[in-house]
This record gives sequence, C-alpha cells and structure tokens, in this order.
Amino acid sequence: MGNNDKNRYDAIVVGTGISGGWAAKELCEKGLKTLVLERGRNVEHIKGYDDMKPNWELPHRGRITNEDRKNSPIQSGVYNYNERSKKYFVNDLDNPYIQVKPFEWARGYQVGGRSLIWGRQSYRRSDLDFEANARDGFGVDWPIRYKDIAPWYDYIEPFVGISGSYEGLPHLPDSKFQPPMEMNCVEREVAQRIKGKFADGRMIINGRTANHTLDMGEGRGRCQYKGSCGAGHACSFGAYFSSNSATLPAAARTGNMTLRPFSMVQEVYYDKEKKRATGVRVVDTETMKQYDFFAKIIFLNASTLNTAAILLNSKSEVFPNGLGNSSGHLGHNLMDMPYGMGAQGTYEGFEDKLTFGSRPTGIFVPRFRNINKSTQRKDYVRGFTYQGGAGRGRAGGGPGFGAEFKDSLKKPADHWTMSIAAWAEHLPYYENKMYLHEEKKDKYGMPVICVDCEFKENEAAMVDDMMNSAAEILEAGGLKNVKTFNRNKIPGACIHETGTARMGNDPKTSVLNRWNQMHDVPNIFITDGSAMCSSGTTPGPSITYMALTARSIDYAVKELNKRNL
Amino acid sequence: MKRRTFIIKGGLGVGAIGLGLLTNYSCQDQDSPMFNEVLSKKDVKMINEIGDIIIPVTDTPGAKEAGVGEFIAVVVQDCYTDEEKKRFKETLASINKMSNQDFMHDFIDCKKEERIDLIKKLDEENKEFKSIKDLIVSSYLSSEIGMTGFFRYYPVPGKYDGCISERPW
Repeated sequence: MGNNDKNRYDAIVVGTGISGGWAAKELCEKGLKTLVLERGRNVEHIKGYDDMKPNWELPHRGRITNEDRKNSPIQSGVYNYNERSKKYFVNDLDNPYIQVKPFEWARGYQVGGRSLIWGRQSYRRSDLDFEANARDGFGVDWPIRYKDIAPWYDYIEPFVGISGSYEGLPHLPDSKFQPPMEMNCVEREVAQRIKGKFADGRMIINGRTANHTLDMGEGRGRCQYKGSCGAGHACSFGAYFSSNSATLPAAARTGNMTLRPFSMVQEVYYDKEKKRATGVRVVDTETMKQYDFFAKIIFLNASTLNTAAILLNSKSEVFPNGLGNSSGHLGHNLMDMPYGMGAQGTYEGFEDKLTFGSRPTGIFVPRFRNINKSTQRKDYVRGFTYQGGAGRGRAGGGPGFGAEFKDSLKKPADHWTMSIAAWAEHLPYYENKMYLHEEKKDKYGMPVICVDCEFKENEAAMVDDMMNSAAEILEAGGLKNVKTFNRNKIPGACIHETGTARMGNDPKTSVLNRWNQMHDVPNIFITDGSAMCSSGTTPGPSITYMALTARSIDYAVKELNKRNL
Repeated sequence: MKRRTFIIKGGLGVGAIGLGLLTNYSCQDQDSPMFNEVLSKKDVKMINEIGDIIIPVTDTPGAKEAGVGEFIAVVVQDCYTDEEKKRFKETLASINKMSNQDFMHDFIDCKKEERIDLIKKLDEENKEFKSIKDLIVSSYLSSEIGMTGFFRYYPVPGKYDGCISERPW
C-alpha cells in the first residue's frame, strides 16, 4: 500500500482492449509516463498465436467439449468460441455475474482484451446517430455532433487500416479506406439488380472491416484470406487491427509504457480536498496481493460493464453511491443491439462459378428507415442495417456410400445461397442497468455484477420489418426460395454493450461531458463503450470508441499542460 | 451368450438409470478392452470398418486410414452429452443386432459383401445411422488425409477470388 515514487505515473490506463490500447498509444506518444493495467495475462503479438496450426492437430478439430461448456457456459455459446479461440475467452465459473434478465456477456480477459476476437466491422456514426436522441427524446442529447468527431475518425482510421468502398452517403460517412475486399459474382449481380428498385434507396455496398488490404509495416500485413480471424483466432500476419498488433506495440516503442498484466483494478481513490482522483487499487490476480498506483489522470477502458463496476465500487464520503455518480446514472442506460433477423435465398445462375479464399467480411446494406421524411415509420423510431453475403459451399454427402459417394463429397452445392441479417438500434432506457451485488463477491474480492437489461417495444416493433425488408431485398435481387429467419438473440449477444457512463451536457443526467471527462471528477476519462449516448444503428461501434479516445486524450493532455488537471 | 448377458444386465439397470446406462453397454464390450471411457477398442474398429464401406480407398486413402474411429471416440467421449453418448452406443448396438439377425455375427465379423449389404439397408432405412454416417464423413474430411489428400489444401490462400471456375478444394 506504499505511496512511493515507483508507483507514481503521469497517467493510468485501465484495460487493454480496443479503447485501452488507443489510450495507451496516444498518452505514451504525447510523452506521458503511462501505466497500463490489464487484469488478465499478457498476450504478445504473434508469440503464441496458433492460427497456422492445422485443424487436424487439435484434439477435437475445433469442437467445444463438455468441459468447456461446464467451465464457460456463457462464453461457449458465443459465435466464435471454439477449441482454438477459447483461450481468449474467460472461465465463467471464475468470473461470475448475475443475469437478472437473460444477458450474454462475452469477455476476454487478457492483454488485448476482446480486440483479439472482435468482429472487425467498422462504420462511422453520422449525425443521424448523434442527433437521434434529441430528435425523438429517448436518452439524452449527444454533447457532440459529427463535425466534432470527424477529424478524429480521420486521425485513427489510417492507423487502424480499414478496407471499404467510398459511397458518399451522408448517413453513413466514408472512412479513410484501404481498397475494399471484392464482392463475389452473385453479390455483385444482386447489388446491381436492386439498384433503383426501392424508393427508400436500399442498396448493397462492400462491408467495411478492419482487415487490411495493404501492408502496414511493423508486423502488420495484408489479409491472407485464411479465415482464421472470423473464428476468433489471432492472426500471425497481423492482418486485422487489434491492440496486440497495433496500438500496444506503438505505445511500447515510445519507451513510456509500463504494461502490468494480472492487475485487476477494483477501486479508484478520490481526494475530497483536491476534488481529484489520485490513483487506483489493484489486486494482482496471480498473487492476490494488493497494490496502489497513482497518476495525474486516469483513463477507464475496462469495458462497459467493468468500467461502471469499478466506479460503483469506489465509494467515499463524497460519493456514497459510487465515484462520479452524483447523477445516479452510473450503470444505467445499458444498451446492446438486437440482431440476427433476416432472410436467405438461393440464386439460380453462376453454376460454373465458385469462390477462392476466405473473405473476412461481406456485404452491407446501409440504413434506409427513418433517414428522412419520406422514409419515416409510424411504428418505430431509429432503424437497422444488414450484413450478409453470398457463397457456395460443397453439396455434402447425399444418400449412398462407396467410391461414388466419396467422389460426390467434392461436388459444389447445386446453387449459390445468399443471406442478410439485421443489426438494429437499442434505445437507451434508464431501467436497463447493471449494478453490484451487495454481498456476493468473486474470488478476487470484487462484488459480482448484476445485469438487468431487456429489449422493449421499439426493438420488438422492428423485428417483422427487419425480416420482411430483408426478404424484399433478396427477392428484388433475383433470389429464389427466399425465407425469413429470426435468431432470437438475447441482450448482450451482439457484444455491443454500451451506455453505463454516458456523455451528456447536463451533469444531472449524464456521467461524462463532451470530452469523455467525468462531470464530477475532472481527471477521470472514460472512452470505452460505456460513454455512448445511443447504440447507433450500424454495427462496428469500436472505431467510434477509438476516435473518442484519441479526441479525449488530445483534450486531457492540453488541460494537463494548462495545469487545469 | 452375449444376448443373455445383455438382458440380465439391462434388467438390473432399470432401477438405476445411471447404472443402467453403464451396464447396458458393457455387454458388447466385455470381450474388448476400452479405448476410452465410453467406447471399446472393438467399437473403434467397428466405426473404422463402417467408415471403410462409406468412404473406401480409391485413388485417395479412405476413412479407415484416416482413423475416423479413433477420432470419433474422442469426440463422443469429450463433446457428446450423456444422452448423445447413449444414443450413439445404441446405434452401434442396433447395427450389431441387425448384423446378428441377418448374418449371425457382429458387424466386424462380417464379410465385405455382408457389410455392404448391411450399410445399404441402414443407409436407406435407419434414421440414427445418418448421424454416424455424417460424423464419419466430417471426421474424414477434417483429418489430415481428408484435408490434404482428398481435398486440395490451401492453408494460406493469399487472395480472395469471388468468381472462379476451378474448384477451390
């Protein structure tokens, strides 16, 4: 518990995922001696990656075992959890949480966090998103507009390395792109066929993904189309953006970063005289010993639920309900995104064509509901987008056996198929929340998180439209046997949890100001998903966290230099 | 002799489901040491022999050479639920039952023509057999022989081509 100089830094970053990695990079590059704390083990880029290990060398060739299901009943249900990726997901028994209502919480506690296993889709938010709350009155108004964040998207994107196509859409602003990954012949044909067919402007464009189509140097190569990142395997080619491949090595190169794995932050200390946070209390998750670290500024990037948990657990005389929680909104307004409603069909044509290589993205349908007066719905506010793609696999064995049957296993499927599925907005509701259990603690002594979150009327009102509109797109594109589906995903399953420490202009109804700075405690900044005022309609919120992080650090360091912090 | 053992042990098992599950299957394994906790070496051999009929040696190696029996035994033990394990073993037992009815001996003691005869019947009539057949196929295709000998193997494709004429596998 010593308060000596070796525990003193200019800045502390809590968490090493997508936003923590950016915080580390930016702070270190601005010359601040920065302590980066991560509760899990270290994972160094390329070292120990096993994406090049042939599948047949895995004891179960990728299958999930009964032991996996027993130790990780939640994680083993996540879409990219498998025999190879499971080392990047937590043991649920060691990391319990309480589902007041069903909530699937995917977690990766290691250096790099979930940036190793993320979906990589990357879409800018637009003013359609930043003005949404003000327009329809759900949640609080975003304290920023597109013009405030646009320069910061411009700043982070070339370093992230996003492939995509320039479309010039006002409600889906272009990023600074590397060349897109091409559509296959059926996607191209369907995209062409639907052009101009819909009064609401429905269109199919290339997916935008943080998979690189250009070499980026420093251990970051071009995509090799081996399909491993989609299955949650870290990439030995460094061909998708992760903290491990990109931001943490950049931070380390400055010589200013001290990375401390196995360091779980449980509390932020507050000095009521100075009205500032002073440091953090860490439990070493290997030795269970406690340590204190101190800094002038603290960036919390522990992920939406854990960042709020740390603050709720930091109680003092001034803040009996959690540090920086004078608004009472800390932990509230939790959002995810409903997803997985769509349609699929078969394509008659291109029977002599197939695809080569495994493309880590697909096609994208930008939002077309409630984007202007003529597309306004009476039954719900906000909207949704689609991701999907076409493909043609193998026919699979039919009836029979023997040499002929064996030969038939090489046959391609009779037809191409195409499917698209929706990602939709989840409105901010105060009563959707997380909080700490009053008695139960995990093995590290941290109170267990309770999650009480649901989809409500507006989300439900979109479901039929998401299915039917998908079918309309595919039918207009020439697909046959079109059928709709709903994967009935529960909150959390989209892994886009956001909102527990939202930004806002009014300290009475929000936790952070327009710079991601706590209203109550000016030297604490939060730039992970918890800062979001609305979930947004497009998937890929991560680049928004990255842009907000860089923007916030630019402000914080200027304030530090002005001696305002 | 075997059938009598089956009936007696099966009868004892009625009162205790867990015990019943174990004893029910011990009958067919009593002559064969166990391969793992769930399947006997004889079971593994039987799966390999079924595999050899479904995916025989042609200009490429077949399922037996790819060791589908050994791999399936690991999957059944480590990945299957108790209910799935039970059903899997029942299907193997039912194949032997059919084999005994038709040819008076277990599947692995059948001549090749008898095996083909049985697999033909199972493939056409037995719904449970399909799950074993599918498992044999996926185990073959995911084996080193399947991935590199039967299919062309591209561990690092290096590019995406969304419109090719040549088969990519």
